[in-house]
Amino acid sequence: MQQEVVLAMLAKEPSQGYQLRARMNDALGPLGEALNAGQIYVTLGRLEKAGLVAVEETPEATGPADRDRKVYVLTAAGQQRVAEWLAEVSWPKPDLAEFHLKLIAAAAAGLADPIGIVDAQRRELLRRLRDAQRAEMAVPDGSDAALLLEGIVLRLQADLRWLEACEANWTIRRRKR
Amino acid sequence: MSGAGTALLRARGLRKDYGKGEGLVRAVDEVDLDVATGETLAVMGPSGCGKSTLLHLLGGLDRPSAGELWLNGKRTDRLSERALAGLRRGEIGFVFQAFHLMDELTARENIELPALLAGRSPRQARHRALALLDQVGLADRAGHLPPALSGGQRQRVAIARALINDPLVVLADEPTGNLDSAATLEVLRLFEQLHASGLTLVIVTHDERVAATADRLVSMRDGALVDEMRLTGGGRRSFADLLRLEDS
Repeated sequence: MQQEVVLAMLAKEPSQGYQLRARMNDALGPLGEALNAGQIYVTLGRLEKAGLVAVEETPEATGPADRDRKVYVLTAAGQQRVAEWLAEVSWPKPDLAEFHLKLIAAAAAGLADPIGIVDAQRRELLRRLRDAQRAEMAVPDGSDAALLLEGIVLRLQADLRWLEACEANWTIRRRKR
Repeated sequence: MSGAGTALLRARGLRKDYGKGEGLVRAVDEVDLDVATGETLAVMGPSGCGKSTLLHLLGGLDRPSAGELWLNGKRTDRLSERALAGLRRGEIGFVFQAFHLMDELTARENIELPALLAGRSPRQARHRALALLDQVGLADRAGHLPPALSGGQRQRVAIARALINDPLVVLADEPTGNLDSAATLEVLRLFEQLHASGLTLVIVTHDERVAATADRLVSMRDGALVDEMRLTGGGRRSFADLLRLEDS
C-alpha cells in the first residue's frame, strides 16, 4: 500500500487500523476486495518507524499482538508529508511504449503476427472492461466507488481505442508488404 | 426442413452490393452468422465497414443482393413486401442511434404506436405500454414528450417501443452513439436486465462499453466478418490489477 494514502486517510482523526480499512473500503467499493487486510498494518509500522505516525495505546490494550487496539496519530512530520503529497502533481503512466515496441520487434524479427498480439490484448482489455462495468452497475449511482469505476472504464476505453488504431495500422502495413 | 438448426437468426452467404461495374461496392460480403435464442451479439467495426447495412438486412429493412436469411426457422429473404412489413412490425424490434421518437407524442403514445399498427386494441396497447415503461424505469414519465426527457430516458422509451409487440429479436444500431457516459450506463443496465429475461439482442456499435456487455463479439472489416470472440464466463476477476496501490 502506498504510504501516503494511509497517511492521508489518517489525517481526518486519530484512528485504529480497522477504521482506516473501513474508510478505504467505502472509497473503493468492490475494488477494496483486492486490498490485503494485513498490508495496512505493515504500512502503519513503516510510517511509525519513519516518525510520520505515532501510536497511542488505548487503556484496554491487552498486549503487543493486539494490533487493532492501537490508535494511530499523525505527527507534525506526518502532517507535513500529507500536505506535500496533496500538492504533488503526479499521474500514473500507462506503459504504451513497451507494447508498441513489442509489436515493432515482433514484426521486424518475424517472430509473431503483430495483429495477433493486438487481438490478444484487446480480448484481455474487453474482459477487464466487462468486469469494471459490471462492478459499476452494481454500486450505487453517485457513490465514491462509482466515480472510481467510471475512471477505470474510461481509461480502458481509451486503451481499446488505441488498440483499434494499432490494428488498423498494422493491417495496412501487412497489405503493403 | 427448416435449415435453421437451433439459431434464431441465421445468415448464409449474405451479400449486399451497391452500384455496378467499376463503381460496384460490396457493402456486405458473404456473411455467415448465427444468433442463438437469448444471446446478446455485438457487431463492431469502423464506420463504413458495412455493419449498419448488415443490421438492415437482418431486420428486413433492406433486401440482400444474394444469400439466405432465416428467422426462427423461416426463410425471410424471399418474402413479399407485405409479409416483410408484417415481420418487421411483429417479430423484430428496432432501436436506433437517434431514437426516432415522435416529438409530438408522449412517451406512452410512442411506445403504443407499433402495437396499434399491429392491430392491438387501444386498451391492450396502453396496458402493455405502461408495463414496459415500468420495466425500463420510466413509470413516472409516461405523459412526457420526448424533448422533455434526457437522452438516456429517450433511448429507454425507444427500447420499450421496440419491445411492445414481443419481438423474437431486437436489433440495435449504435444505441449509445448519442449518449454520454452516464446515459450509456443506463442503457447498458437495461440491456443486461433484458438479457437476463431471455431477450435476443443484436447490437451494431463502435462503443467498446456496449461490446463488453455482449456474450459474443464479431468484428467487421470491409463488409466481411473477420474475428469472433466470446466474452462469457470467467465471472468477476480480482481487481488487484486495476488498483495498483501496492508499494513496489
